[in-house]
Amino acid sequence: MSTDKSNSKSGFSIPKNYFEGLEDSVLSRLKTEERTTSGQHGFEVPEGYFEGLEQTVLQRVENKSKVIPLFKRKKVLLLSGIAAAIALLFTLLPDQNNITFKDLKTTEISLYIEEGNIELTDDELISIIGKDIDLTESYEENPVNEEALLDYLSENDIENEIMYLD
Amino acid sequence: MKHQEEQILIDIKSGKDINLVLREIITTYKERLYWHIRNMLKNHDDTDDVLQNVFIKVYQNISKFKSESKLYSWLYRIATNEAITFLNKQANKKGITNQELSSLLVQNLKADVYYDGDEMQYKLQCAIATLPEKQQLVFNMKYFEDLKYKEISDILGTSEGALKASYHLATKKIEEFIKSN
Repeated sequence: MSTDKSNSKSGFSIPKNYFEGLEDSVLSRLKTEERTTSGQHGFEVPEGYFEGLEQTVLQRVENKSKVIPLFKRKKVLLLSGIAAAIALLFTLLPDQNNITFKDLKTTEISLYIEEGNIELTDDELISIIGKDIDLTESYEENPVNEEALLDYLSENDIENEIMYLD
Repeated sequence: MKHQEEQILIDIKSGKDINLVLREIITTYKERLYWHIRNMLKNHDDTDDVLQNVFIKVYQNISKFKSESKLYSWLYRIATNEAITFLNKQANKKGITNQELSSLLVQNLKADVYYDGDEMQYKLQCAIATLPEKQQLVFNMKYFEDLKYKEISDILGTSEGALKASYHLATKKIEEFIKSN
């Protein structure tokens, strides 16, 4: 349960600033050792906690670094390049087919959307679904649990990364 | 400590395997950072979570570290930020103020298997919990962690004069609290 508690159990204490005159290296080492015991404030650490810490953290780091990104930057650049080329082609070529939006079948449009060829924002979806649907209705009937909301907010880290910049 | 820090900086600059550098950093700083966080969070499990997150952040941000500044102050800063963020989230979750959370954390010490403080040590914790957050931080760093004003100043970015005043004020308040309780 605890690390060496000899200091606090036996009641031996060291006068404050006793070590101030000793060389820095010895001092810092003694201070570290003093802190690993429950020492002056009574806090304890599970036995062997510090010994296994490197391994625990490194394992977590390894697990994290194995994540393969869905989109590689190069691929995205290549795809956007192709898309731009196609768009340019369409704008430069004279309009021969004269296909209008009305000529498209609904199933074709929905298939196009389902295949992920177009991303619709919430606003766009609302305008498609129709304005007569009251979207606040279900929220009023089933208000979001406050605890669930706070959990969501605390899990989704929105802290400022700048704090870690040197 | 100074020698170890210099060695780590050399290793970072020379492009040594990041996992090995991280291992060196953990070995060198784990106990100091642990107690720094523990003094703020009081409880071992939370401290362990936050400490591990600190080292993960270090791993992720090591490329942003500029070796002209001191490694220990950068690490302490990350640890302080992580611990404060954790406390804020806890207070938010429970719907209480940070001050109320401080008292709650100290109250929980009584049932904590990893707390072995005597009556006086517990009273001191109660007194610290009444201080404003910044004064608590300065007091813990000076009194429990034995950091020098210069070091605390490097970490918190506050002038040494302001830190001395803050520490003086904290000890006065603690003294009064202990006398009246």
